[in-house]
Amino acid sequence: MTIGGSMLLIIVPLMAAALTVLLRRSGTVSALLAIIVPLGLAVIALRFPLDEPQAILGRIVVLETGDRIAIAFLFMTASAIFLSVWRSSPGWAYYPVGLAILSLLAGALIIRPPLNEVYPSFVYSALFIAIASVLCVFPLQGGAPGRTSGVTRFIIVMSLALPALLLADWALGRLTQSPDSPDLTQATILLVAVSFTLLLAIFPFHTWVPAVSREAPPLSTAFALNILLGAVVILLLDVLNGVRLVGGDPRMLELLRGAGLIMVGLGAVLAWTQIDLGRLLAYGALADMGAILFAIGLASPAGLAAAFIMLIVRALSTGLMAMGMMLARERYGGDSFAKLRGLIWRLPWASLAIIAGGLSLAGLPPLAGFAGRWGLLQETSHFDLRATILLLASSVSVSIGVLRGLREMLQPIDEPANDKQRERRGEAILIVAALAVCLFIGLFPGVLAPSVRQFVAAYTFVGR
Amino acid sequence: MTDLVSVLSGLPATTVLIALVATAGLLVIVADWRLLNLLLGVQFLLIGALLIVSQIEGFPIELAIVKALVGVMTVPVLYISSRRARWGRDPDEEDEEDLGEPRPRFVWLRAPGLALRAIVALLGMAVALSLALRSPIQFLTPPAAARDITIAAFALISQGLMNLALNENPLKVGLGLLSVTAGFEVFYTPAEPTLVVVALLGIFNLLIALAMSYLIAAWAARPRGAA
Repeated sequence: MTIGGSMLLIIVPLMAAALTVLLRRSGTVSALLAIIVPLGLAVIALRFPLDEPQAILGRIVVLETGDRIAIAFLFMTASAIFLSVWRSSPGWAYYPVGLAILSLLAGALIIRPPLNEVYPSFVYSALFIAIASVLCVFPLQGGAPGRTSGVTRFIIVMSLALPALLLADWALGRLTQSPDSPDLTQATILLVAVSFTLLLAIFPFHTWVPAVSREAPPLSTAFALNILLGAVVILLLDVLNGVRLVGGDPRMLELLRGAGLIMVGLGAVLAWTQIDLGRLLAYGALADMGAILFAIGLASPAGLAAAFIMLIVRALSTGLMAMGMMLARERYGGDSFAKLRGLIWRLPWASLAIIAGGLSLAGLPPLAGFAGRWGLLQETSHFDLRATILLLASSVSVSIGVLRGLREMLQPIDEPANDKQRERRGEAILIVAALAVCLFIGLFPGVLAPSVRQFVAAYTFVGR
Repeated sequence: MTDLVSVLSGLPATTVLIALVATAGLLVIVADWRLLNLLLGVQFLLIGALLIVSQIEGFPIELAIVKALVGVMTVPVLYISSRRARWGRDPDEEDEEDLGEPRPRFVWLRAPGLALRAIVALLGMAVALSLALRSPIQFLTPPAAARDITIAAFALISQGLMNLALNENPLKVGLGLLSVTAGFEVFYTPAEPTLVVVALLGIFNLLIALAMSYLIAAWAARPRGAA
């Protein structure tokens, strides 16, 4: 076994994780390592040909075009989150655990069955994703005494997905031996659907999202929502693409569209009623995930392009909102609307991050979130009026929630904030940079076009 | 090791199965954290024993031993954090104890919800047995092994789910998750007897124990009155 090529994407983050443990006394070096390594690997994945298959544990490691772009996106997002979390003293275990999760997720996406295997088994992907989910417990709990209910729900749902996913793979193996069995086909589709329902926090298994978002450090929530769930979405696409019996079955696509609309509806009904930013972020993210699933279920190039754009920009939107929330919680002890009163006069950049991130998550122009939503609305409005209305309603609902928060932030204050309560220069610079990117992508979404085209071309299940 | 395996092979499978089902039920009923840790270890040993005594065709005995050992390794992880969490007792409860008389020996028998937990465990077991007898796993041979493995898998999964549904404290939730996974593995390991998959499932189990142990520590540090 030689280590090189695509194997680097698994090995290097693990080595960096080990190094960050050794360097735990030097927080700055650990943080720099955690920021630079994923960023460097993302650039390597995009720039260099890593497509030579390599053998590992009886399987092959191969980086296909779709996964190359997806992994580069996941690694870049992780790097940005590590950068944002740097100054908030996340604890020495944050970086090693985060890097180990990245390594596992890369493994889940690029370790494939050997070429002579009779069916495209995803056993290793399932196991790696399950192990990564369990590791997510540590950053999500974040060391806060007594805050365990959200993360407990999270680990229950994510762990229950493993048996379902392994059973789906086992059923798929049997289906390959007798492809004409309608019962087995139905059972396989059902098992795949159940596993991804659990993994992607689809209703009724969504309850961990608001609970975690309220309790966990905001950037850890953003990590789970974007990196972990992002990898699960890519795995779903790989399964739809690789397993023709599943991806080519109209029932699977109908299930995806139905689940997506339920989540969009959930966001539309509940987002505007929330009274704290944590839950608002959660319902906004759930509605956004619904829109992504609906777009994938359309099985068209335009739908898949919209889904991928939404996947990228949701990291920016939730990350931006989480950065603002983190500062509000640190300085004012919470993110309920009551505690946000007058925040804009005390933490102007954090307030701007919350508002812009929230409105981008809602899909409003001219922010980044609008690019994907607009593409999806254009695709949907031709044939499904109800879905279009529901998508618009979820955008309006999340926007109302954000505006209710803004109303509290704009309340006058009696005494100005002291220096300790204000943003530091580094925090303000990070927020301004993220805001600039959010606005730039919203105004010029064409910059994403080359990656999106390559990504869509890699998935042949669309338009079958 | 060979002697142990030959002794185990002589045990009647039904006896091991009954012991396993009873242990799984007790994990739902019992509230004492010390006893729960012990029962978890016993459950994993019985799972290994069942896989050996069932004499499933084509299933290597070594995998059963590995499975039991990995399961048993989760017990110390949970035990240490349970002990640090003062066996799940509320800090306020401890203060009262310091002031008054010592706890009666069998207080856990009078713990709130005992009757409810017992009824739920029995109902769950009845549903599991009925499902297992209706649809035994067909690919395992001999048929007696298929029946035993199916009953064990359904019983462990049902009792694990009951623990997940009834509790919020991380130890019980962890036991529930480990039981569900163990129930699934009882069926899945003979179906997919690959060493790497068994090893990865073992890592998954150990990490669940580690994560739950971390959550137990955080739960125990909760502010007073938040129980």
